[in-house]
Amino acid sequence: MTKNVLGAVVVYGVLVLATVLTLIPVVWMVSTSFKTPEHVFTYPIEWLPDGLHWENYVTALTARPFGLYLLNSIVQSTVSMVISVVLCSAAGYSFAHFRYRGQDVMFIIVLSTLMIPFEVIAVPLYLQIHLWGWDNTYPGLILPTGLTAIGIFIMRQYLLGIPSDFIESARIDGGSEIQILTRVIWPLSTPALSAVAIFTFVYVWNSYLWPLLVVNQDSMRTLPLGMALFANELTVSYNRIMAVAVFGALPLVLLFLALQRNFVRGIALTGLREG
Amino acid sequence: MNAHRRFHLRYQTRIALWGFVFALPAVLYLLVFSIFPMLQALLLSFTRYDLMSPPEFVGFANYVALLSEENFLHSLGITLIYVFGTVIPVWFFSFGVALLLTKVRVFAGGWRTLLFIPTILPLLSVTLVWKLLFNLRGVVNAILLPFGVAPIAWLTDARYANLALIITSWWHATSYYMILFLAGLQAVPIVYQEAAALDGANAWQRLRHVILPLMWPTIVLVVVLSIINGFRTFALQYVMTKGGPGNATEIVPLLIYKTAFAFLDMGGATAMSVVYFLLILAFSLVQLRIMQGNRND
Amino acid sequence: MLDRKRFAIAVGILLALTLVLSGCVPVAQAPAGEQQAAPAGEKTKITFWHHTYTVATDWMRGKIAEYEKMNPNVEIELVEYPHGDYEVKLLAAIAAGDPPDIINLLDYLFPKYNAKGLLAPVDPAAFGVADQQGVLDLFEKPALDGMTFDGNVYGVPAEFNTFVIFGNGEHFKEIGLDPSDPNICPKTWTDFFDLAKKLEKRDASGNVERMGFNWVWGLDLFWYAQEFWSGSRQYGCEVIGADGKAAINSPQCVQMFEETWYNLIKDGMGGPALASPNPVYAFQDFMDGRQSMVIGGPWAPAAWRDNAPKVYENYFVCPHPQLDPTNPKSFIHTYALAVSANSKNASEAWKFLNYLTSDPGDMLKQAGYINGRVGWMDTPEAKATTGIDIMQQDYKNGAFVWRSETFTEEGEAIKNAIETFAQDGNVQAALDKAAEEINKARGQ
Repeated sequence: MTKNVLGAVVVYGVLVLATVLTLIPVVWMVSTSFKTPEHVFTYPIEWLPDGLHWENYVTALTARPFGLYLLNSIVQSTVSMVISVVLCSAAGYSFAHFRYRGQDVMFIIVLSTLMIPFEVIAVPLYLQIHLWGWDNTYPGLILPTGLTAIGIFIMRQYLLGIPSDFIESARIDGGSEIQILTRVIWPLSTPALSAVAIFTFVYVWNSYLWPLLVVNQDSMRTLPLGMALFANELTVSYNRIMAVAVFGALPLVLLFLALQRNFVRGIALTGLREG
Repeated sequence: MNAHRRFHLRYQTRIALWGFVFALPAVLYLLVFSIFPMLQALLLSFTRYDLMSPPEFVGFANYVALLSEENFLHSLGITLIYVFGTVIPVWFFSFGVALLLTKVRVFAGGWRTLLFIPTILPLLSVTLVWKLLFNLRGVVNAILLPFGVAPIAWLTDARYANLALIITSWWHATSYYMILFLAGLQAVPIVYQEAAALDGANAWQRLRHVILPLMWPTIVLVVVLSIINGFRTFALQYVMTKGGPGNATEIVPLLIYKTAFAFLDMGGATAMSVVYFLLILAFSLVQLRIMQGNRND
Repeated sequence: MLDRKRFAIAVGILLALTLVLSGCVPVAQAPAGEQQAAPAGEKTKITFWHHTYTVATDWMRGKIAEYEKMNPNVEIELVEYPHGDYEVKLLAAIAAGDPPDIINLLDYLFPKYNAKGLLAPVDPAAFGVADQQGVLDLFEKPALDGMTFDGNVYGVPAEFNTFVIFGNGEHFKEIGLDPSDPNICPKTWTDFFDLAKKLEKRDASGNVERMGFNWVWGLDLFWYAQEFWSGSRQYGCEVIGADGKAAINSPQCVQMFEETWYNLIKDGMGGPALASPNPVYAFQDFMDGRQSMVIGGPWAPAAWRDNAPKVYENYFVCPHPQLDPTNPKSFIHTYALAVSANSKNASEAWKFLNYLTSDPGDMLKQAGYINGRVGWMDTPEAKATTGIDIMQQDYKNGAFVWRSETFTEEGEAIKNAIETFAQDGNVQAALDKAAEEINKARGQ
């Protein structure tokens, strides 16, 4: 690819613009978390805090057991992420590279689970979980929302882009089906696996209605529940709410930083041109 | 000969069986935790149920009532405006940004992380921030002022509230689908693009004839998924406008939530979601059919 | 894979951090009673769900500890939920057949919950009286009115509120009025809005910099009901007419909304566009000094204590504006505590509620709640509250919002109407639509 100066200017210029637009709300959020209450709702908007008021974080985070909430959220999201990555990759692989009866119907059924608003199945689901005695337990919290069809859809579409010959040759080489999944498919699909991991983690991390219904004890609350409790106090000011919000975003940022290199690891498909 | 064919068939069957086995755990999981409650919701749509007393069977009464329920039709309209107002620009924004991201060498990881931040921020905080940005004297109006646009009371003005929500959605969704496009762009080997360049194709032709065709499954993914996700939107409207002013931004999921938990009409709410579900299903099936031709790419 | 390792390290650090943090933080649930040597046999366990308000729930936890010490075989578990989510959570629990023993309900929900048989009547013995009338006599009239059906009482107030005007003393001084002089209080709506205009500040281009007064916009249906109910009563506006049909679009109602709500927008003095967008704190503009007057309940000043001390030191109270000052009418409501009908420990729960509400002075001082128990107005804590005499008047002149089993649908229709006429000024049309929806909800 030829890179001329104009092209580079356009590319970086657009990226800078996109980044600035993306970060405006974030800057306000972080900045507000360091402000004193009077500076929060000013007109015109104050972009920089009047000083780094770290005490906002201290006061906010010790007002409720946020450490505990964070722990519950991490457990909930991590387990969901693992479940999703494993099961969705297997299912996506199945839908992309296998032929069997009822396959199309199964895929439509999978996709259809995305088409009903969760709010409507929340109550029947809760009644079921309650019947099993899973209130306030990790299984009750994690399992019902642990897998979403989005992951299956992502994996399927991505794997459709991998030529079947690749898999066939692995079979000929004597690999078992499981080995093919773990040693061929997974390494080839790290971008998609990372996407599924991130999306599942973030989706579960942000989920509110389900944890609300399942959790009856403070010790089992997840971070969004804790944040809402905190934010709904009549006496709490916005700067501290934002402090908690920034705190709640950190694990997600960390996770993304750990995984983001996978989004550009190219697949070495150059060797596949035979056949 | 016969034995050879039989072996071949048994081999095919074995492979097919494995395929089935691979899909099974996920499908079973969804059956238990999604399909089963969905069926229960379907059953509830034939009852009158207020959560406080046991459901009583009323046949199709809820569905008949829906026909004359102008709130539902109104909500459908608002939802369609929201969904297509959001996704169509987002397809282009996110693809464009993803493409650009593949071309940068300097600070690549940094750009990616920064641009992905909207997706990883807690939705509650994001919406609270945007509420402030859309205030009469907030940032959005400040940006528009030099262009001669008088300050708009975005979220409290029925004419603009939906647009405000759509703009917020652009910000949020672009980052989300950018990642999917990025992942999909990995499926386009550099060698193909280089070969095309060597053959004299310019950037535009490379895009049209190399990148897009190879990325087709990803494009299908983003188009179909973005529309499905758009129809599922809830938290954004719930926090930013609660469907207001009046019911100007009351998308269907919000109406369903209100009908179920505020008006205690689970029968009505589930009936609405069944109809909504059928609409989205039909829509998605048509889309998939069009975009994927027959089942195999 | 290398990235998995980085991820694992990151998670490990985070986990370590959280464990440290969770160790440093007081866990909200410290069941004081559990360590007691319980006598052999079952402990009576009571679950109590309350909405989020740390000042009050902290105080309640103290009372729980005291009660458990006095009754070692009783264990009470208090869990809080955000106000907006409380009903959802409660409904799910009811649907599962497992509601908490003590629930925290706004008074407007009592008709519906009672009609569905979800509430247990008060146990007079728990309150040390002989019958329901005895219970009624324990609280100032009309605190229990909204929660009494067929002579049976179904809840006791945790909060008993009226709405008054709170003013920013410094702003009043700026325009030459002395906040300590009770005569500066506006008597009629006209006085009130004139005063608001005087307090208003605009910048060079005519934009409002400081509002004299603004209603609270964009919150839930009950918030709107709280705000317009006094005006409704004064103007003779009824939500439901004597015939059971909607009357919200009557000429009186139209007049009320035009003269006390839409006028703010028409004159550019207030309205939803000018209000700050904080969805959780209603009086953000007042607290930040961008508004000179608010109409709110006695619970409001507690927020200013920590967040806006200057406002807290300088606020003063005026009675709610009246259409006819010789015939004052105002609004009251309770955030009440009730017991579930199928609770196995109803009597014990009521005993605890009696204990909780028995010292109104202490409750007011620590929790900021007025609970309406007889004699509360004479406690030293009450006397020390700014504007208490004004509030007491409004209590006497107050009445609950309209009672209806379909209150939610009706309130929602009115909310939509208000937000609609705020856009286009057509109050009659908006109220007509609300009347239609109300009739539909009532099956008319």
